[in-house]
Amino acid sequence: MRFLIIIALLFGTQAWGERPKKVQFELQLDMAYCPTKDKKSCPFSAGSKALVRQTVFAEPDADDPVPHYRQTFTIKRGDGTASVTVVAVVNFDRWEYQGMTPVYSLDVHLDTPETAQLAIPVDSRGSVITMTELTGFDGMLAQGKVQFHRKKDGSLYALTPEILVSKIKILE
Amino acid sequence: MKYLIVLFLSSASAFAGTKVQFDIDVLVVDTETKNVFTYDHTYQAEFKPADDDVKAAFSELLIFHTDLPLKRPSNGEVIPLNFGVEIMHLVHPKPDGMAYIVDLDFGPGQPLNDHTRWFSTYLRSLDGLVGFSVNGEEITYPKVGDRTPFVAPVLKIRNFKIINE
Repeated sequence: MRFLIIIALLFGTQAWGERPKKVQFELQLDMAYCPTKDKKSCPFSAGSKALVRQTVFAEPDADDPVPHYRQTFTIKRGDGTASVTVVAVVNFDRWEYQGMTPVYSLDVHLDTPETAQLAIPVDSRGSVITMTELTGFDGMLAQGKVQFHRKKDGSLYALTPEILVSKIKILE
Repeated sequence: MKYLIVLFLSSASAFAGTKVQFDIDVLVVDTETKNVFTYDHTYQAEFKPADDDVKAAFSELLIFHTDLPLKRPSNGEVIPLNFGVEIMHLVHPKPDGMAYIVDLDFGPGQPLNDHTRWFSTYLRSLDGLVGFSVNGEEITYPKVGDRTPFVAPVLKIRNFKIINE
């Protein structure tokens, strides 16, 4: 939500259209593993098995009228030697710039727990895509902040959490 | 049935030569001057046939990358930022309908690295695509007294559309 607020404040006046009230989607959380600090060679979870795969719901609550999903996960490397804790955030909204066609927006990002509540999204990774129809989305993948860990032999490797939102259905 | 056919025919597809146009707004907050400054521009890009090494997976690709001519108003120093939009049209749409992979990156430079924000979206069609927004990484500068100045860039792509249907 804060992305949308910030972007709205920065780029112009917006009016709220008719928001969805409840959205179902599949959430996958994965970890891209990089053997070295050379992240150019990092695979983006190609062929790997999702560490978390759940069907979840985005709904408004008393604090936030935008249908949202927020959950903290700790995901581990396959051998259990390192873990990363992330806050997965998914917001569905519908809004418009003044005089323009209303659009749906899908906001997917990963925060670190330490900064998840900050007004300025330091360490947050993700983005917002806007479409005239929410049904046009088939999925959205956002990477979290890369974290480096050190092996026993002293070499560094990088862990990159990823979030994939797919199979979106507006229920209400 | 005829409605289905009409719907199908009206669905935009990207072919080699298909051109897209989009506007960008880049906004940078400079904590040193407390200034917010913006850059806006309109770009066009074109789908081209996929190269041999990927044409089994993708029929057409749109690859667009550009540097952004941004300078800090406080001292004229160049802010190293560029962004890229890449759209891949799948030869065989997935069973769930996904036909396009849309990637956006925004950051200080290529190749993609920890300082570049990147995301990927999977779309059934380009029809409804309007735009993206992504927050860039804060770029910090040497300390001034007890302060660490930084700029915080935001990229917004809007009015995305196919222009030569």
